[in-house]
Amino acid sequence: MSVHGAIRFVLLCMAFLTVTGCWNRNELNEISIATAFGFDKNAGRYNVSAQIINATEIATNKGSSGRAPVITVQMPGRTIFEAVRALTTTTPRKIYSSHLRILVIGEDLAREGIAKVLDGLSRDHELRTDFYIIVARNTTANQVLRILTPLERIPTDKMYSSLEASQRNWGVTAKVDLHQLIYDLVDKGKDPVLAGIRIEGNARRGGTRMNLSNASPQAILTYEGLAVFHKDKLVGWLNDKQSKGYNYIRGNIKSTIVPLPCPTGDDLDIELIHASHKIKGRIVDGKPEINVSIRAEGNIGEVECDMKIATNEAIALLEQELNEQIKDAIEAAITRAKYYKSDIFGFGSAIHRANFKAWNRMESDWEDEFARVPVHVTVNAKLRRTGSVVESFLERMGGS
Amino acid sequence: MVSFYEAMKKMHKRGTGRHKSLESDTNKTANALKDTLEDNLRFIDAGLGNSTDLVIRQFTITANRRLCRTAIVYIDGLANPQALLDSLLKDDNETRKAIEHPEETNPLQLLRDYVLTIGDMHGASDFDTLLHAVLSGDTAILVDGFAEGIVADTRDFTDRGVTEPSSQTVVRGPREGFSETLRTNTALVRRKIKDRNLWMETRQIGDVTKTDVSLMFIKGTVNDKVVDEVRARMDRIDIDAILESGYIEELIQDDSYSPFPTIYHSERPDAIAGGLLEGRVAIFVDGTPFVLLVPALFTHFMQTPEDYYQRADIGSLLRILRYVCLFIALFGPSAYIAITTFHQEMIPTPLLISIMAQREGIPFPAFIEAIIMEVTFEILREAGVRMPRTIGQAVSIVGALVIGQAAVDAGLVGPAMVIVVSITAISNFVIPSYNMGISVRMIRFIYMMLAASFGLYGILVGTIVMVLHLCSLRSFGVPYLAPFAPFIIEDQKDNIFRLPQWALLTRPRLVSPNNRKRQKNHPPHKPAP
Repeated sequence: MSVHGAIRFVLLCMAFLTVTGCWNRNELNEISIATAFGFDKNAGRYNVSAQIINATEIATNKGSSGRAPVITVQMPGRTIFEAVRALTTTTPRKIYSSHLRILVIGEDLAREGIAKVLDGLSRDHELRTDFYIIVARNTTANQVLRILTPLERIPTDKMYSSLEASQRNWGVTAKVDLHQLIYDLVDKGKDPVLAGIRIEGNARRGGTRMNLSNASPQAILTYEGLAVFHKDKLVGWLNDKQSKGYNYIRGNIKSTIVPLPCPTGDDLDIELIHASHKIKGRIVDGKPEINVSIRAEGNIGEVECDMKIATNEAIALLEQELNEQIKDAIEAAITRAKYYKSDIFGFGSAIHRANFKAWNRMESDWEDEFARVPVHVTVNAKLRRTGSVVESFLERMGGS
Repeated sequence: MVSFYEAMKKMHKRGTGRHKSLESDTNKTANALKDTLEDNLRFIDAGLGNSTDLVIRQFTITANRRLCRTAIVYIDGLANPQALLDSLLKDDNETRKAIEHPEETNPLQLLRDYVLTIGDMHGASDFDTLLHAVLSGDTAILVDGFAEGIVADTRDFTDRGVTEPSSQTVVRGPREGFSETLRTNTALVRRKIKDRNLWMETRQIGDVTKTDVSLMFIKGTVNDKVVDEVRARMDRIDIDAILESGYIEELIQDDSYSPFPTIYHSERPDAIAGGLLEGRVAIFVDGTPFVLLVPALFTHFMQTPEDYYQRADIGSLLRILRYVCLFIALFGPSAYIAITTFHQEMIPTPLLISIMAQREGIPFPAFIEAIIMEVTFEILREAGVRMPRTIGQAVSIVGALVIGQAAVDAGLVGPAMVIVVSITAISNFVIPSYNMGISVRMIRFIYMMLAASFGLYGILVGTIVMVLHLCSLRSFGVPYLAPFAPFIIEDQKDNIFRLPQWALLTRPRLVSPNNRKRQKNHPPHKPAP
């Protein structure tokens, strides 16, 4: 390499300096990881809470030192962004929010409207958009973030995995991330729903270490129902049955349990192992109509009555009942949503897809139209297996 | 810097010049052998400074009933003239041998034709040839009254013998390795390739050491241009000494300012024979077990002879593993630095929390932490190579302490860094060529600096620069990155993957363009049931 070449090489290296790259260099011991944010509003000001991880406490293998695994700090502010930055006055390090997994919105703020607080989140490059957004039911987001959870050291992890697990196995919650929420907000033919979380027990005690050392914790976080939004405002809640109905329509059910009444009284449970959905919109005589068809497959999960199930008639009867139950849940959800005038199912989008001219006509007053729209629900459920046994041993006991 | 280098070069030139002129003066005045034995012997003795290992044995032989004063000259330790003495002196009945061949009057010719039972023998009429032969271990025979001598090959010096190569070991494959004797080494290769097209030529390089350097190639397979180029580059060498093939390597390599080696070396005869069969040129240097092979491409440094001895699937997997290790060895610490200081969002949350917890209380930035560990490891490795074998255990104990739990407990480094540095170090040893391994070690530090100041972006830019540089390299006219760049589809059969032997139909296209066909085999098929 000649001198000329060396000069060229140095110039090349200097050119790197002018190119924008990753300049936000942070050593790991200069940042605090926030895994959850909570937004509340009181007296016209936002109150931002952040759940910050105490890494040494969480990663330790040799018993804990007695310090809390997370701390929750809060800071009021005129805007969200301002409050987040102001949080550095309470934390020793800069808050690093790329690992955010949960955003809790307090019920009061949700009722006032959530759209405004989302802009900052979608704008900041540090945040990923794959965190879930939930609503604190009957409480503030700050209270929710204060609860320590015994099984997961990081309460956010508990909220995150509990949401995923319940969505997968029980089907009454909704995983909504920032992208999904913003899509729902801007889509005129679909209103958002968010999962609701509730503190069960003594919220004040739940924030101390005592909550961790008790076999039955003083306070636990439970998901309950779905928060129904109209535009960006919380208008009401769906109960578990309605939530399940909502998830049937949206095709979010992976697996769930459907309880059926036995002909002889008592109960019988069907485990759904597969469900698919179809929403079709039509315009009939200028009026919109929705067809919802659900196909489901299930196994018999539990039989608590003496009923002979090893006959085709019995299976057909159970299938019939299963259809009824699912349809019942769906209709309950639709009725509730119509009551709120909130098209959480995306029926408007279905009409839009089917006939965009008609949709353009009714787009402006879709919320009223939605409350009137006839919805035809057809459910086609099949029973596949009966589990490891066919007849219940209860039957051989000669009826109890 | 440059001017200093130039000055050194000038001084060097002047030095050799003086040496040369001295030699030519001697040539003019007294190079030719004298008529009398007395003068010749005195000249030899004086010329070697009466060195104590010079042996001059004088005796008289009877040739055609005429007494001839004869002397043999050899260096003790280099030559064993016993066979020569036997044929000259011993007889069944008498102590002095009487030679009767009246038709031959020249006693030297007589000795050559009828008496000496030595294979390699030639005449010498000047002192230069004679002394060089004697100093190489030959024995010179001088007869009084003749300005001529005979040089007989009696080389017999202590050789380490053919032992297992220590730098390139295999699980399956020949266990012989080259030794320090040129002749042994060439013989080891000839034993593997019994072809009359295996040609060899030898020259002496080094004004003082006069080291034998041999080129070996398979005529017809080798690219003649490469041979010419090697010859030309060897002829350009003007140096006083060649003590190891590394001297030759540095003097004839394509690019001195590249961290990457462009000449392959091996102490395994099978590796060299394999290279020759691919159409490459081997350079043997007397006095070292390391034989050079050109042209050498990047991919050669990632291959071992054993790839061909194990079955194809094993060979391919091992090669893939080696490339994986190459990347770990290059990018291990730098990727760790970049991700933990710039791109924390790329680490899964639980892992990030765990690394954060480890880094609590560590006073240094990740870069300094990595440098400390890497330098410590380099120190240990160098110490392990240099120190006496007997205290090897001490270093392993100390090593386990400094790059192990003790360093972590002392709060100097985090456990994750120990793991990163260890896997990097181990991966480095997987690279089969030691010199390629060293290149990777050097470049790793550059990447660490880039990562510390620019993050993954810096690593990416560094990689682009490195690949550009690799693309610009050539080894004796062959692009260094072939067959990756230029991409040669048919040579992929023996690149990252090693296809079964029956599929290796051709030789590498750029290395041996003339004689490409290796074999005509068909895939073996199962016998009909």
